[in-house]
Amino acid sequence: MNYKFRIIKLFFIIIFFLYNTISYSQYYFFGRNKVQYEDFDWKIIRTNHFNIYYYGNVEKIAEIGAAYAEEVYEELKIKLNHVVTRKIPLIFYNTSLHFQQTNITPGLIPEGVGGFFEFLKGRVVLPSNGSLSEFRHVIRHELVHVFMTNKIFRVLRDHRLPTDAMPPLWFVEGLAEYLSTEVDAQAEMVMRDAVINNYFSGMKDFPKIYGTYLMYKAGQSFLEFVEKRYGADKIPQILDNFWMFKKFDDILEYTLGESVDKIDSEWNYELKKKYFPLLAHKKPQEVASEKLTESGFNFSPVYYQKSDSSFIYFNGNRDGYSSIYRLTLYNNKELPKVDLVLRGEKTDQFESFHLFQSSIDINKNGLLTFVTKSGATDVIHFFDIKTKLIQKTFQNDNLISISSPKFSKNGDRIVFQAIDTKGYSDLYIYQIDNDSLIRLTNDYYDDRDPCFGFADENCVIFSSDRTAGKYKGKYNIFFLEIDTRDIRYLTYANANFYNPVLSPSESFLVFTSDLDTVRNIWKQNIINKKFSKTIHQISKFYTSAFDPRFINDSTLVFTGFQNFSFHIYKKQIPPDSLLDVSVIMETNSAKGKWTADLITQTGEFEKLEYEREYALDYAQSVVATDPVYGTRGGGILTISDLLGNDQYYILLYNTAEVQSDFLKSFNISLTRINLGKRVNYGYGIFHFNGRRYDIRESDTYFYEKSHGGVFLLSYPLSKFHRIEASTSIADTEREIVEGISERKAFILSNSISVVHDNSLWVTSGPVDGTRWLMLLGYTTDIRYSNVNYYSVILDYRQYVRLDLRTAIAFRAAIFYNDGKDARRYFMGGSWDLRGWNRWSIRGEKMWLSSLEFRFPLVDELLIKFPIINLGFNGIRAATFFDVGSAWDKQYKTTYGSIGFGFRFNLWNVLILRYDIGKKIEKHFTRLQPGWFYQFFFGWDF
Amino acid sequence: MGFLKKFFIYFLLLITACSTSLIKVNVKLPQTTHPIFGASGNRNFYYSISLSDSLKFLWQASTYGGFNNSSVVVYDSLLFVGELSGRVYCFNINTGKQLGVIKTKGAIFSTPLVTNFRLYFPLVKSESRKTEVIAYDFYAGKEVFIVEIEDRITNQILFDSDAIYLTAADGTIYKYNLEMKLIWTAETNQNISCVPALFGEFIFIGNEVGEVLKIDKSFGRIIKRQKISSRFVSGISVDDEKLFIGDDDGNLFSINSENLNVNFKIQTGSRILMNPVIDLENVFIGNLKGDLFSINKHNGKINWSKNYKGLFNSTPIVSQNKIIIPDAFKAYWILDKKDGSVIKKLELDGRAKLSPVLIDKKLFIGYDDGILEAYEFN
Repeated sequence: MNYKFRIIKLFFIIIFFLYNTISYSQYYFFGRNKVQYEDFDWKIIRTNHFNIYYYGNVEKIAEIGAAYAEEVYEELKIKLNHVVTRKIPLIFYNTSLHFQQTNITPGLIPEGVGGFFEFLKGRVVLPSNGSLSEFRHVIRHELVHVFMTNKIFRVLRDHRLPTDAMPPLWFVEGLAEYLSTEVDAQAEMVMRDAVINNYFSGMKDFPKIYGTYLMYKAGQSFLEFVEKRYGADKIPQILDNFWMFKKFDDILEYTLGESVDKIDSEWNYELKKKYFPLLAHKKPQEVASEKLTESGFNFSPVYYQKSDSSFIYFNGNRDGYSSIYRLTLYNNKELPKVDLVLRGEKTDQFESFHLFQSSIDINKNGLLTFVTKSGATDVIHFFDIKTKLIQKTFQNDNLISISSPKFSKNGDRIVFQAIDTKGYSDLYIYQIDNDSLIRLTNDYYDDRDPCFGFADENCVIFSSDRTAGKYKGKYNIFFLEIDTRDIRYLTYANANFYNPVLSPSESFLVFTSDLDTVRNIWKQNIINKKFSKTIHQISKFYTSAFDPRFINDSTLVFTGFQNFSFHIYKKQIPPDSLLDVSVIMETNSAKGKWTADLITQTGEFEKLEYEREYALDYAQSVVATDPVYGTRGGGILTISDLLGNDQYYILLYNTAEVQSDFLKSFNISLTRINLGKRVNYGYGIFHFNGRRYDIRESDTYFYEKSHGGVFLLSYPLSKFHRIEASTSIADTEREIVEGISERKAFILSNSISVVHDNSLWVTSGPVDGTRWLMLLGYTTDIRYSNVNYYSVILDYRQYVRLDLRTAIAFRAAIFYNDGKDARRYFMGGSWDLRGWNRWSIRGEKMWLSSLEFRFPLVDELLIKFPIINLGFNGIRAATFFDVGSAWDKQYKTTYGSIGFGFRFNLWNVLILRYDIGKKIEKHFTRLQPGWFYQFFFGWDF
Repeated sequence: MGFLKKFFIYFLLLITACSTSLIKVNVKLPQTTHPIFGASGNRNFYYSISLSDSLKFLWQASTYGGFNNSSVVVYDSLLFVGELSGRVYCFNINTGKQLGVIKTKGAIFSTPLVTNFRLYFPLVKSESRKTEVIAYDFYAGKEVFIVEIEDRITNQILFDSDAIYLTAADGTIYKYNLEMKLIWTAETNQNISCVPALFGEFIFIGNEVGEVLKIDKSFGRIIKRQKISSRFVSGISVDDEKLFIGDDDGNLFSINSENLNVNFKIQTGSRILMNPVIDLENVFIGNLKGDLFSINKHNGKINWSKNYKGLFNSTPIVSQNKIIIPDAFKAYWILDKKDGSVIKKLELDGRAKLSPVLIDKKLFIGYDDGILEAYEFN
């Protein structure tokens, strides 16, 4: 969102908020909650170039991260010929779950975000997530952002140019990837898929993939191409030349010495030359195996057979919510039927299914085990597919993040991976009947994807980055004796091996490996419980396969990535005689494990307790005119601590309309909001003075002086529910005729509300889920008894999807104020009762109901003009029916409207709404003659 | 104190921003002069002077734009400096008083040449690929010649009593006389970022494909080109028929100026961007890792090396007893050249940018945000 726009919006929100806390507003906010489950005890490691913030048991990981950061700093300073001279704040969390609680960015952080660099104060925030190699990668990635932005700032400042220019996002993220990681299996997978399937063919397609993982990797691929064709030195030169031209393409053209069209053509040709020959000896998954799903994103299949019926259970996101599904296999060629088993992301119990991170499993008795986030940590559920009930749920406060539970052969225990409070990713066994938990490993290596070994032996097979020697840090497959905790290598190669699973007959092991660049399926034979040193390639896909599971010894199901989506596939395992690619493992030379370097305690090294470090977030002055509040000028100042937990808002503005009113028209407020703990609270004082226009009272201006204080409380019960309370006290004096006091009041207002929101949004508003609010309030004048009324607001909104982007939306709301000098509610206009004049229907009591049919109209509209092209994305439409009324003492009439409208999403900032319809008039008895046409902005309800 | 300092700087910026575009000073023929980057064409950055350990702050001044890794030049009591917002400033070297400023649109990367009451400086234009080379008469206060060149000139000027040599980024070398009449151009056909040096009748320069070129200064003929390394972007310095140059892989080469054969090569461990600095016995070279090496210039034996945890991309200077080296990590180090021990560290508010210049025991340095400072060794 445009920064300036945000400031202006904030300015008005604060004014609006402060005015309305003293007299209950009919506007309120839904939205999901960022719950502060943890009370973090922050500490600091100070190094030569960084301040590292960590908490609790994360010290070791923080010391390793500090060493990585210093190493990366030294590397980037040389590569970019640049130094960042301030200490860079690095904030470490032990898991994604804790990372999602950060207040450094105000919004909700989606799963899959590996870290972020916050531009305002230059903070880098990231979780360790159990894998030190990934931790190192993310530190490098974010530090490239720090160096790049700092270097560009310095270049522009040295040339005395505005310092707010930045390269396009594909370059920003591509550079961060290019300087932080090699082209790995995942990068190769998405690039192969995009080029071969022809949905990415060079620079002109960057807008099409804006913000996606593919954009990161395509940007990286572009810079790899630049290095190869023009030289690695050209890449930092692009930053050095940033001052030269306003257009980034001109900078590229100058630096690389060729036109952008030529550069693009060459890159496109390179991509095709690299990837098209793969088709000669590699196959798409849908050709070399049977595709079982057709839509959505589908992961982690497990096979279950019940008498004559065969099923595959899997988790996926097929409609916007991650859930568990069942696929019924038929013997004929008919496409399998998919049923929803458990709906996720709508309730506190199944807050998130961690798609792609965690697999599921099922035992022979039909007990399905899977992981969801539930409250502060992940939990493991045991779900009986016959009764369709959760039989048991395992949770442990010390285990924050859990992945991939797998049953033992007899189904009485599971082995799983979990990340503890130290940030260590280790293996655990949970005995279901007696609730006992055994920890198998306890170190900073990323032990993952465990499965039980031979049925008659106490052993576990797993993947880990504990590989030592010449392939240090690679993920190999290991064998662990549970009794002795002895660990030995099953594979040893310069590649990564994941998802081991033993065949039902225990005669071979299957896993995925990027030995041939992307992840394919391989097997390792077992004779007399001895693992062969030779592994054989089962699949030869040009994109990756994940999570292979057995249907039987000759058939696998797995997840495959193809054509920008994940689907479930079934594949026959060819006999060994037909497997022509084999690799011999060098396990004889494989010994021990590597050790991570900790930060050296030299130079400026010190460890400190965190004390709040406040700094200015922004200061902005605004002069604005609006029809309700008139012309006003002022400024807003916000200050917060480094972790974003404690925030101060200082607002100063003046509403004088003539010079003589200047001194008496100063308005000031100071508000503190604390988000550091689960209970969010805020308090503030205000002094407002000036001419006001209150739409709820009359159509006349009046002069009002008010001062007082406000206290706010918000307690999130979960991601979807919260309780809010507020109290305010205000001494007000109002004049309608100058010099004559109209009303004095010392108003005490209290409210409490419960808010729920699990809705799913598309470009113009919600299309699935529910949102509701119940509010009770009481307002009284404790000195003059001029005001005394209570308030009730009930608002319920339900969205029912008919298909992915089409929905029926329903809203019913009651607003009720009763008592002395009660405030009026109002409606009318594009946000509620369409067709009627905006906010023209007013009363102390009000009800409203709306029904909408929302559907997509045009996905992409491109209008070509001679000079520029104008494009709109996501144009939607709706038909609507609204009904409602407002009254003071006596119910008067019922209003209504019916019609249709269009919604344009402008850069995800603003929705433009254009409605056409007919009002229902005369006590709801007839349609208006002619049509109304109404244009406004705002999201759908 | 910090606030007052910032206020003072901003106030100065305001004053300079509002000043007119003019340098017009009444100056006599100079007794002291430091006309180009490195003082002379061989660019050894050596000052035959012994410096005390005690340093006194003289003055601070500021410019509107920031500095490149160039240096100031001095003409009698006048100090000139070009900066990246396209301005050339003139200060009094004793007081720091600003005597004038030439304002242009573009950026000045190179150290100006000052000679015969004239300043010569290449102005790189923004939103364009061109450079204007401007000759400015600061006695008369006016531009006397402007020549347009179809590429960027960010390199340092070479000067040879009656001619100036300009090196464009695309590898074209231009020779002009002091009336800006083109004498010759030499196409080297490779990009050049290396600072050239002059020795006898020849110009020596490295290029971005790792060649060293020997060019006849009279006619612009390429006498010899020798592939030595992968890429040269550092400067070349000449001493007693030996060329010294560092490469992108961290090697310092000693090269025979006659046949361009390598005498010896020393690996320093990181990229080299600065000019090697040469005194009577040794050559000194720093790299981007923050290492500084003292090497016997005759046999390539490393006398000592030290890491200063910074980034050395700007050329230091060496006196009879000290090295003064700019560090991008907010410092100028004053070191004992015998062993590299730190005698003094001048801590700055920003990255050291300018190669220091010594005039009569006065030291001139420059760092981020166009801050120029003068010190004096007691």
